Amino acid sequence: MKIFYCCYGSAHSSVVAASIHLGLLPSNRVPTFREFIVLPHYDKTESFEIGTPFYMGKDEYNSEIFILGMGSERKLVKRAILSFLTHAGINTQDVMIIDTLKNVNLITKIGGFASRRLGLVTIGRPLTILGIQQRYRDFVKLVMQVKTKEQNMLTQLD
Amino acid sequence: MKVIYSSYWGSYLAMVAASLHIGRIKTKKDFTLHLFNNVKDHELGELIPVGKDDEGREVFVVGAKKSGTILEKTLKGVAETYGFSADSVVFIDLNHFYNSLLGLGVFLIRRLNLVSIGTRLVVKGIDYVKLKKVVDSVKYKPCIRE
Repeated sequence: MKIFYCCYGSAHSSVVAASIHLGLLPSNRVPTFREFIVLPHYDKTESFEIGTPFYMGKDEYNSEIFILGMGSERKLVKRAILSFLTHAGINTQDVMIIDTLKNVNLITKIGGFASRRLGLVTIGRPLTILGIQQRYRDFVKLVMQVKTKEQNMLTQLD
Repeated sequence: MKVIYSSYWGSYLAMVAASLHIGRIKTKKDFTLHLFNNVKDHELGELIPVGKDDEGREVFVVGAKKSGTILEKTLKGVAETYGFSADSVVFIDLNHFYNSLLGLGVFLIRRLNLVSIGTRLVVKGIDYVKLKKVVDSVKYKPCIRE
């Protein structure tokens, strides 16, 4: 199974969700600033990389976890992926595409804009982290829901 | 291998290019209303099969709005995650062919339902020579079979 965590630019919320999923970030407490900045791809993805899926690792069920920036047309891009896979003869029951942007608050958005668009990393990066720390429980909740669904889907596929 | 022609709506420019590619139309005179599909807003992103070319490659159109560049990377990237080569997807974003005549025609068709006059403007707005050149460059480019 493949799970794609998606957001605007694959730099913040998708990285955090994928990292919780893979155990790179804790589920029982809010991580520190340092724990965020050492994550692969965190606040690093460049604009020209939006659209490219990045592999983050395999989870305990052997599912492959990716992050993907979809820009502003997330529904359209999601539809295209599923349509493409169907035409390629791939079972789309085996794929999960999760939008993580709904967990992003204004502080993270401002921080992301400052860091990724304006290049003001010193100001933007701490703001992205502060915003995510405030909504961290929602990220954990989302990932738990994904894992439950993943388990159910894997049981059905067996 | 999949050849995907992409434009804002996937209904006009992409449809003409895909039809040229599979040989359904040969000249600008063959442009008719029946050629154009009518992709609805909620269908944008869906890959619509148009046919197969002489090489057996599947030809699709897609309405990608202004996200053609992103979509190209995504589909190629996703193909690679499934073990296909990035070359297994040929994605052609045609949005740079849009001009005011074409835009007006599409607006008349889609928003005001003035299909007849809108279609005429769309046909007039499509730069057939340049489009044909792009299609030929895709069609006759040597390909590696999967």
